[in-house]
Amino acid sequence: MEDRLLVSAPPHVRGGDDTQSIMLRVIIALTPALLVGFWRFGLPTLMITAVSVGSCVFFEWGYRRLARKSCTLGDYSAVVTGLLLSMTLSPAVPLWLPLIGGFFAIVVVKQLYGGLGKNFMNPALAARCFLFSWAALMNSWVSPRGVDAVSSATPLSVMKGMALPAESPMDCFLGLRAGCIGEISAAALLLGGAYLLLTKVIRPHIPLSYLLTVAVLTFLFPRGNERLTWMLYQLLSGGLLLGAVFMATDYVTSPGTDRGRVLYGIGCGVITVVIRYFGSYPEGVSFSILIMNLLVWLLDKWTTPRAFGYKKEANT
Amino acid sequence: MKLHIPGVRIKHTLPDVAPVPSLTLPLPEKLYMPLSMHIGAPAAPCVSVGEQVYKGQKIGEARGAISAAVHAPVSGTVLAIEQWPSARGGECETVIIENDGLETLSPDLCPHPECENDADALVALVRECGIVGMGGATFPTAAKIDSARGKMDTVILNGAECEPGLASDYAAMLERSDALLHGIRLLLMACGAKSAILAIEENKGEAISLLSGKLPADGSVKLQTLPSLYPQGGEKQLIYNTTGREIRSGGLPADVGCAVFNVETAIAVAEAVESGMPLIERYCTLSGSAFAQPKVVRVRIGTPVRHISEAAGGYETAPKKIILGGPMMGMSVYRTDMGVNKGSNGILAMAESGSESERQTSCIRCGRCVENCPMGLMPNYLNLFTRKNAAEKLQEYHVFDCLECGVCAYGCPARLPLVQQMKLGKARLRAWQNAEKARKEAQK
Repeated sequence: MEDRLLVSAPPHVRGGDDTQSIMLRVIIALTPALLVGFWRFGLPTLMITAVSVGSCVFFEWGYRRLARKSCTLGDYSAVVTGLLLSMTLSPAVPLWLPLIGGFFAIVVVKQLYGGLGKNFMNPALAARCFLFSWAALMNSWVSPRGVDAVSSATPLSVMKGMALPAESPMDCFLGLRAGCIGEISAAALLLGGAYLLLTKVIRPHIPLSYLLTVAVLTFLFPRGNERLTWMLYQLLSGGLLLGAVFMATDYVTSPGTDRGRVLYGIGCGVITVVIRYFGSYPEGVSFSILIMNLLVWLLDKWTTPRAFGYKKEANT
Repeated sequence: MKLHIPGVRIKHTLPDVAPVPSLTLPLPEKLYMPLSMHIGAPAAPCVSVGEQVYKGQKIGEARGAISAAVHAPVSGTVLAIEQWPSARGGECETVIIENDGLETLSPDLCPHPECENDADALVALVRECGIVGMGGATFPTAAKIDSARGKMDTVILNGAECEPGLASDYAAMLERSDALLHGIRLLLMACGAKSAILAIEENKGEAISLLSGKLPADGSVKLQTLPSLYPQGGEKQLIYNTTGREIRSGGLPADVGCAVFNVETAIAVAEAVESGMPLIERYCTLSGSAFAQPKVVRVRIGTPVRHISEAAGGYETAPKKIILGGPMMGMSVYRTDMGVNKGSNGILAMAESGSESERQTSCIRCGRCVENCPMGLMPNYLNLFTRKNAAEKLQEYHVFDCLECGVCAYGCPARLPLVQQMKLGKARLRAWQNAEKARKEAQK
């Protein structure tokens, strides 16, 4: 017969997903884009990724230990941050750069605010922007076809000069272009995004509204005569897909309502295009997402769902 | 068709229960009749220790309008009237009856054909027979009819099986379909309503096909199939999903012209008219990994939980947790010697301890709780405001409208105890409101 029964509060059943399984799926989704990066840029990128992940994991562990808090390595969020940070770096950066980046992302942006869930900016993106303190290092590019550090212009920097890039849109789609480690292959990023959508880790609202906004704006205001081609290059170049699929959808720093997510995506899209067109820097994805990160609380407040039973003309 | 209220498909480890045939168990030697097994004032005992009682005889008198009478489920002797553990938690005054095994019927029981067309007589009979909402809420049915008489046009019969994994409503609909339809007719008459909606979840196919063939020809009863979502059986959700009417916050079903009755409640009403038998028996689902075979049983009210488990074949493995009710809102208990009550729709015995051993992280702001909340609330923010004791924010974000259905906690990847946080939030807001009231009065 039963003796010593456990008493606990309902519900007594739980759904399948937990924080760890969600982070694992993000890691899986990032893999195709990382593999294309390794394939195109070779061994240095593997080292950069290893240092970035290692740095994030180390500082997460070290900070929590020094602060006498529970160890949170098991939620894998530090691994995700490390992967994302390395994917936003040029394959030519020295290895001490991701090391510093990992420290900034984990300690300054995330842990000082209370750890997972409490940071108000995306740690990887904030760290990337911090690393622009070394602008020359962050902006030296490598030709994608070989590992011999030939400096090469990215499609986006060519477009900054109002010209269409030399690569075909198909090259940009597959990843045969210069750029950051994880951003070059639109195909790989879309594959990862599809996996996240299918496994219900993310909802389509942010990526769709973000990409559509950029598409509409660049189509309406092209530089040059070929509207459609211009729009296509804008969508496929820079960090737009990496940002729209993996960065802007970060739960912690994006709105918690669907209407909020749509507004947030539109905001990201508008700021991205404005920076690309009028800023002195060719790329605006990182900045646009960070700026929108700061407005998340406001979007949540604006888009609070109408609670059941509070209809204005509710039956009385 | 209007938008459906959000809900979730609960994936759980509970097997599908075959609803029929339900099992009738051998009766226990002692039955524990709690005098408080309904919403409202406890019943007052009207028998004394040592007295001989008959099956169906009243042993507790309803105290006031919101209360319900209690009847002896077997014939025998009153052993004691004392505080005893209750299936609703805590202890309450309980009449303990020793079963003489003779099943002698109370001589007062007789059919009540006069109630077929007399609303007042029917309400009086329902009150006399101690009928309460049998979906689990246990609100006295006579009081519900009274509060809604003449104000409504639609009676809704809840065959949605409030909790996933249970099959008590399903069994009742299959085995007592004629009584159910009789009960619906009686409730329509008593409430003065024009039409009834029999709402059944789509996973109860046999009940849908059986009952759709038996509906009255005058079209007064419509059968409506609903998706198997939780919480489909919640009163506000059910009314919205069947009629599109939205009860304002703090309002009652009667405000939108509806009254909701559980299907087993309607059957109990029919039985009271047909034989005069008060509410002393109900369907109860036994499930969970500690049982070899899940099943639906007919139990007398007051039968100890332990007796039911043993008489139904015992456990296959030693249970680590026993839950009265369903997996989402049921209460886990530390002892099993209390009697089941009029709202006991399930007994779950789990061989594994379940959710509490799982890893908890801080909120990752994924927003799933917001997507899934059937009341349109933001549990993520309510959790935050509760932790910060921000009472005004708890009010602004409508913490009092939370049903405590558990959908938010079920889907939470961080495994946060959101239901407890909502309960705590309500308590904190209430304390703040009282303090504010006292402060304002002191100023006067």
